[in-house]
Amino acid sequence: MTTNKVDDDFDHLDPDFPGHILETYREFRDECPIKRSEKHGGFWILTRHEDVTAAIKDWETFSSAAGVTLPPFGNIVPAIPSESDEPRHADYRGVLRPFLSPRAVAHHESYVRGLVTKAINEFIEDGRCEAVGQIARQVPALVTARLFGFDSESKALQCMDWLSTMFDSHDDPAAQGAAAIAITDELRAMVEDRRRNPRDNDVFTAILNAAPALGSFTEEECLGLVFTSVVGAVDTTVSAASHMLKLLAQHPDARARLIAEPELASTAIEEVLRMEPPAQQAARTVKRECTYEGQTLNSGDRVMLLWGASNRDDRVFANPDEFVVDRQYNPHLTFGGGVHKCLGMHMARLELRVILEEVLRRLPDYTFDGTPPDPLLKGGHMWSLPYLNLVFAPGIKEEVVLPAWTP
Amino acid sequence: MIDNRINTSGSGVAGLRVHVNWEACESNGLCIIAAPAVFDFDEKENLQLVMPEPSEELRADVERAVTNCPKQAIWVSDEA
Repeated sequence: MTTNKVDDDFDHLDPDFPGHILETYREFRDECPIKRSEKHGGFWILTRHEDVTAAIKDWETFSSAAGVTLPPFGNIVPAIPSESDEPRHADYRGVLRPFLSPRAVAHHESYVRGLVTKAINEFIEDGRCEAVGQIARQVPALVTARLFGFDSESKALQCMDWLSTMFDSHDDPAAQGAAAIAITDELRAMVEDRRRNPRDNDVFTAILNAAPALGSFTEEECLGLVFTSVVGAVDTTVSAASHMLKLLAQHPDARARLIAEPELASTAIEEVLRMEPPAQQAARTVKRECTYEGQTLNSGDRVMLLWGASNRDDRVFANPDEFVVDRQYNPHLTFGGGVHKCLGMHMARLELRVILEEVLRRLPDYTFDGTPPDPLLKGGHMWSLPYLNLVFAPGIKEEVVLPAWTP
Repeated sequence: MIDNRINTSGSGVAGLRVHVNWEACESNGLCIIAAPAVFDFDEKENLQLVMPEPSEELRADVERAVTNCPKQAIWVSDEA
């Protein structure tokens, strides 16, 4: 069956797409397991959990090196490790991994909690807040910048402003260009500084000292490793935190259970990630011809992997449209999978858990103030809430214990 | 490198024993958060069962790891 929603003109950048995103995903999964769109130079679409999982694990067929966005994004520095293949990918990932392991990120928990405490203090006496700006946006940028060795909170915030300009000011290309130059200059200065003044437990120092298989990393690679990590860390986590707060307001029974049984935080967070993946999709490029369901995919063809559709595949998830706070088998693809599985996932989970704990402790009774907004699909992939107005019983400010900026 | 996936610490003493379905494990690492004494990653992000026979005090941690694993790849048995 072909309908207007699943015809060859499927375009994830169509402003109407988010309004019927789940119906579209269901039709693709059930009626057309491999789908072709002629938009953006043409691409294949995979949606079923089994197919998407197989594709991300088969990196030799489905390459990342030719870009993981559709249409391609104009990178100012190499988008690595995301846009690279083995064996180089392993070098890139290996140098960042020690900073993002579950044990490494645990050292940042007290800083995360300090940020959340401070953010909640700003509005707790008012009995209302705008949670995207006043909670979700207050955490990931600073945590990420601190982890990657930016010199100060003010420098970090300046860099995040430049990133916002780069990614969001489409009506002002001059400002976008200036912001891109400013942030790369800043990262270049950090590299230069670490060449002269190596630091302990510092990402740029580790990158400069790394001895990958093909010799040392170039300066562009040094910049790309940190730039890509920072870009990948911020909007995604803001999105997940925003959706988490929205879902818990929509499901008061689940929230009451979480308050009574705080040990359910882990399964609850995975369920948020399954239902509302911040990145709805990613792209790959076919490296060697293959066939699927009678279709031939040629070398060079682009393929879209729709995580958002896989995460609601009823072949894998029982009652996929229900928010099940204690869902146990939950192999969602929100962090991707295979060799490229999100390196920042442990940090993202830590931030989400601390936000969850502090919000449920200090504004446990919050409800929507007005009608909550529908999500936007920024750039065709970033599932964002524009705002989220909440009301609750006012509380009191608490002492903020914010550990030193330099870990 | 010692392969921690193989239970080499078999003490033969009655108690808790942890099992991992290595085919299913995707190194999500949620077990490391729940039971850091029992699970860890190696330097390549492969999950390691570092304490296959934890003491009774760690039972609650291990049971939390069992519940939190999104692949349901961990289970425990009580050895007689």
